[in-house]
Amino acid sequence: MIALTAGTLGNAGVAAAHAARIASDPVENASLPQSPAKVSATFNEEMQPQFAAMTVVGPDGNLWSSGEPAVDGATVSVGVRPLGPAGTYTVNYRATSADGHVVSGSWTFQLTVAGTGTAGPPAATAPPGADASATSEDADGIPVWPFYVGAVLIVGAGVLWAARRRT
Amino acid sequence: MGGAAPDVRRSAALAGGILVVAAASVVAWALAYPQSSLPMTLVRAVADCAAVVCLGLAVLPMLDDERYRRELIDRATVPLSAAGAVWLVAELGRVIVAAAQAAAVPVWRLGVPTTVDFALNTSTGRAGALAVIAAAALCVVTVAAPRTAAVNLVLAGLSAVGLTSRLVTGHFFESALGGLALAVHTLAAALWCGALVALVLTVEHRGQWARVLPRFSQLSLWCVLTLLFGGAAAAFERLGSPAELYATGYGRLLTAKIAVAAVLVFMGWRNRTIWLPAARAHRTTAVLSRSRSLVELAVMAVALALAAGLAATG
Repeated sequence: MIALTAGTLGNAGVAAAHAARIASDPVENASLPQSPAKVSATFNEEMQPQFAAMTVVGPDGNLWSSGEPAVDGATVSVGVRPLGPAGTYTVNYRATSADGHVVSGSWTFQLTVAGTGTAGPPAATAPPGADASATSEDADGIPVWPFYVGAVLIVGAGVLWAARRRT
Repeated sequence: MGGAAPDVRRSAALAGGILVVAAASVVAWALAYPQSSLPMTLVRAVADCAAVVCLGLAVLPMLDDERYRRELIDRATVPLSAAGAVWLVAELGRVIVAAAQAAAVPVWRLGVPTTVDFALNTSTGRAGALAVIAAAALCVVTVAAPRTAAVNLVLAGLSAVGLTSRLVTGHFFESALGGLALAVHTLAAALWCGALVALVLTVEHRGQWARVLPRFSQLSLWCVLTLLFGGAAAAFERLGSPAELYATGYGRLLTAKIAVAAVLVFMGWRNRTIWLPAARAHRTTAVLSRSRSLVELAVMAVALALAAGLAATG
């Protein structure tokens, strides 16, 4: 309890509402003549490094972001390939704030001069900004729900057995 | 007492309780729409209610005279292991639902590695894991350890840890005063509601009601004062302006909860002035005492479900 209290005290700061995006790079609806090296969003509170996701989807519906998103304090960023066709690029993000709430959203920017880059895989199948898009479906072979059902059965059986034994 | 009749009453009360919790969860979700998620609110409501019942069952025997305490402890064992099992299962479900939410995948597609990653590496997941451990420990201790007053104290402590574990990472993560006020509020409410459930579940005859009810009444008075104070402080800390009470989902839920609390305080006050003197003088039958508690419990279940909705509202 003391540790818990100390931990809470340590984090004492401004009593803020929930996490929200307060800035982005490039800014919303910016017109860029050339591709940025990366895109980033800054939030009003620290984000957890796990379960952060950020993708850039081009006017062709393909994925133009590369690699895993990086979380540095309140900023989430992801690398961008050299961009291709001119048009509207959408950045989708999803991240968990330090207090455990999921924040998601998107913003767009325009590329005014077409680049020479090659597109990534089509983004259509991936849910917007989901961390699961690239990693979990391959890595997460075994679903967790059978284990949950098993745990429920074991706990139930255990309690029944204990109740029988008592009476 | 004994025989089939009380069993039927009890299963009917249990079914009614489940219905009330489910309905109140849906109402809580609707009030806060679109800021909260229904599965999360439901699973939280079940977990919290079960933990509250565990706390009450562990504490209640302390309210009886020492030489009669044995009887209440024994009678509480089976309900306690059942409530502990429900609690454990609900807490596990809560971690899984939260992990699925964080990873943005449907629950049935959530994989084991993601769940483990969530439970070990995020603050929300770790708080959930702590609650799972507390619930599991409670089940094991109830079933395996000898049933003594000291062990019951350990059980009460485990329930309290489980109930407050998530407060550290919740809405009040950044505010020490708000977090502390909320912890006090939560524990006082849990003690009040839990002890009343335990009264209904374990106290059988008139003489027992006559001994236990006055002490419960004393306890609940302190609980109500503490929970009103803690709740007011936490709400004050959390809300920016009075307009938020109806403009945001969180505020609407809070308003509903304040209304329910007012009803509960009124009922408690009525019981204190009418029921308590009668029960103390052995003038009230155990059946009547139990039905009075059931009505109050139904309202409490609504309050708890609203609280779960409040915590799950983004």
